[in-house]
Amino acid sequence: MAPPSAILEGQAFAPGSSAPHRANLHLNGGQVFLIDATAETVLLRCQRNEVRLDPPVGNSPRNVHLAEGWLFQTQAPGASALLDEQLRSRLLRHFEQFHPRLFAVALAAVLAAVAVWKWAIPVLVALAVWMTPATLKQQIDRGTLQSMDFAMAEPSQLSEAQQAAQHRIFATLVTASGLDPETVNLQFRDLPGMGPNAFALPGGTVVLTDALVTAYPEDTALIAGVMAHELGHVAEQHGLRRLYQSLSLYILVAMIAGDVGPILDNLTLEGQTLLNLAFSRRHELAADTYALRLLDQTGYDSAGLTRFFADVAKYDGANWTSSHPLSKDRIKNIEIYNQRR
Amino acid sequence: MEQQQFEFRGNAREWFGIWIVNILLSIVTLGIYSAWAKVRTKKYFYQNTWVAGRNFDYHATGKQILKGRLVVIAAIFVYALLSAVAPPLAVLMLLAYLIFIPVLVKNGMVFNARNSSWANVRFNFEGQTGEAYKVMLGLPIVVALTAYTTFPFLARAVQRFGINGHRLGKTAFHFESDIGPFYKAFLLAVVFFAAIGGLLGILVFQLFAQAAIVGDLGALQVMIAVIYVVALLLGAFAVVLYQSMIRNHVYANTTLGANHHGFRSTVTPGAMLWLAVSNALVVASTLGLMLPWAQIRAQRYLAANSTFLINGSLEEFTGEIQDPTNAIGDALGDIEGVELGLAM
Repeated sequence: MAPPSAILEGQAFAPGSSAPHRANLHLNGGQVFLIDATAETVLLRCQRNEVRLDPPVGNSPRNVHLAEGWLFQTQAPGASALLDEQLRSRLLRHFEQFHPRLFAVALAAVLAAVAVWKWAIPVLVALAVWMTPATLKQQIDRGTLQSMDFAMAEPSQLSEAQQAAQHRIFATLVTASGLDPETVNLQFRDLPGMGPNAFALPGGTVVLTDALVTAYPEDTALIAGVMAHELGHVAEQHGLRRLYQSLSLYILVAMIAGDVGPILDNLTLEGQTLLNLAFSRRHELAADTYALRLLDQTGYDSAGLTRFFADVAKYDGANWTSSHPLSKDRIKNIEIYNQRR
Repeated sequence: MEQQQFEFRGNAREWFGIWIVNILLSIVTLGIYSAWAKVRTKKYFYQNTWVAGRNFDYHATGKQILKGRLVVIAAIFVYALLSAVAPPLAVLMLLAYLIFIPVLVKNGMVFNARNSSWANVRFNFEGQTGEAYKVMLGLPIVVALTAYTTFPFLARAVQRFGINGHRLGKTAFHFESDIGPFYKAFLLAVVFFAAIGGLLGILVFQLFAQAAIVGDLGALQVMIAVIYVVALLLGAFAVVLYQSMIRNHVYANTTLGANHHGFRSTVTPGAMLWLAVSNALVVASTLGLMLPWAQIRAQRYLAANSTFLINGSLEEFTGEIQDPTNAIGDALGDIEGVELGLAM
C-alpha cells in the first residue's frame, strides 16, 4: 500500500534557527516536501523515512523533525495518523486524556502504590536482609562501635565481677534463643547522658550502658528482660530492616512526588520521618513480645521488664514523635501476654 | 522597546492525566519508567512555555536519564557498603565526590542546556571548569570561614557563572550587578527569620517554662516538635522571600546578545509566599491529588511575571545542534539533585 498523500499546515524553522516560516508539509507517497506558504518555494525535499514525529505531549503543537535538522510545527488534527505516531505514544496519550477512564487510572495508581507499600517493599526488604552477608553485618557492628567510641562512648567502668554476672545471664538467654553464640556478643560502655539503656546492632552485638548495670545491681530479672528485648531486635533483624525500609520509602516518595516545590518538600520529609518512627515503635513491641517468650523459656520473671518500663516512663513524650512506644502501652502488652499464657 | 510576555499554556486537567499515568507506570515498573516520566514532565512544561510566539522544548531521552540514575544508585550502594565495612574509605569516597562536584554540576548544566531549545535553536553552556571550581569550592570555603557574612558574593558569583555561561545558539547571555541588591535580599531574609523566629521563641519559651513547672513531659515534647516545624516553615518562608527578590534583580540585570535584549521579572514576595503556603495546604489536604493543579498554578504565576524586552527588533538567533552524548557525559549528564540554584 502506498503511503498516503496529504498536506499539513504549520510553521517551519531552518536548522538551528529561531525564525519561523509559515509553511506546509506535503506528503506525497515516499517523498516529502516542505513548502514556504508565503513565497511558495521549496524549503526542503526529503524521503518519508527522514521524517520523525516527536512523541506528542498534551495539546502543544506537534514537533516534526525533518532531514538536516529542519523543524516543522503543526496543530493539524491528522498529524498523528499521517506521520505514523508510534503505538506506544498513542496509547500513552489515550490513557492520559481527561476522561472518566482517568479515574480508573488514578485508582490503579493508588492501588499500585498501596500494593508496593504493603507487599513489594516488605518483600524487597526481606530479600535485602536475607542477602546481606553475615560478615558485612559484623563489620557494621565493628564500624558502629568504633565511631561510637570515637565520638561519645567511654570505656566501661564496671568491675570484672559485675561484667561476669551480666555475661552469665546473657549466655543463658542466648542458649535458649537458638541464636548463634559465635556472632551474638555482649559489650559494656559508659555512655554519659544516655542513662540506663541498652541497644542492639545488626550483627548481633548487644551493648549495655554502665548506668543500666549499676542502677539495678540486684535485679537480674530486669537485666534479663532488657537483654532478651535486645536479642529480639537481633533475632528479627530490626536494625537492617529499618535501614532498608527507610531507604526504599525515600526512593518511593522521591519517585512519586518528584519536584514538589518549597514548603511541600519539607512536609514530605517530615512525613517520612514520622512513618519511620511508626516502624520503629512496631519493632519495639515485636522485640518485647520476643523477650517475653524467651524469659518464659529461661524462667526469668517478666515482672523485671515491667519494673524497667515503669522506671523509664518518666522519659515518655508524645507517642507519634517517639521512636519507642509509651511505657504504659508496653506494660499493657506484657499484661496481655501474661493473661493469654 | 517591544515587550513580549512569557506565557504558560498548560492546564491542570491535561497535566493531571500525564502526571497520574507517569506515576502508575513508574510504580508498576518499580521505578524504571520514572526516567521516561521525567522527560515527559519536562517536555510538557517546556513545550507549554511560550514567548514571542515560539515555545521551548526538551530533547533528552529516557534512556539517558536512566543511565544517570543507575550511576547514582551504584555510587550510593558502594558508599553505603564502604561506610558499613570501612568507614575511613567511605569518608575518602565522600571527599573525592566533593572534589568532583563542580565538574559534575558543570556537565549537568551542559547536558541540560544542549537538550533544551527555543524555536529550533538549542541552548548551550560554555562555563569554564576553573570558574566552576571557584564558584562551588573556593568561594563556599571563604563564605564558611567568614561565618556567612560574605554569602551575597557567592550568590552573585553563582548567577554570573550560570547566566554568563549560557548561550541561545551562538548568542550569549550576560549578567552583571553590584553587590548591594544581593546584600539587601540576604539581610532582609535573615532579619525576617530572626525577628519572627525571636518573637515566637519568646512565646514558646514562656509556655515551656510553665510546662516545666507543671512537669508535663508529654506537652513539652509536643512543644519541641511544634518549635521544630515552625522553625522549618519560617526557614522556608525566608528562602521564598529571598528567592523572589533575587529573581527580580537578576532578570533586570540580564541581557541577551549584542543588541542587549532585556528581561523583567515582577514577582512579589507576598504573592510567592501565598502561592507556596496555599499550594502546600491544598496538596496536603488532598493527599497529593491536587499536586498537578498546584504545579500549573505556580508555573502560570512565574510566566505571567516574566517579560522579554526586545531592544529594537528581534533578530534571528542561530546555532548548531551540538551532540551532547558521549558515553560518560551521557551517564553523568543529568544527576538528580546535583545542580546550581539559578534564578531562572
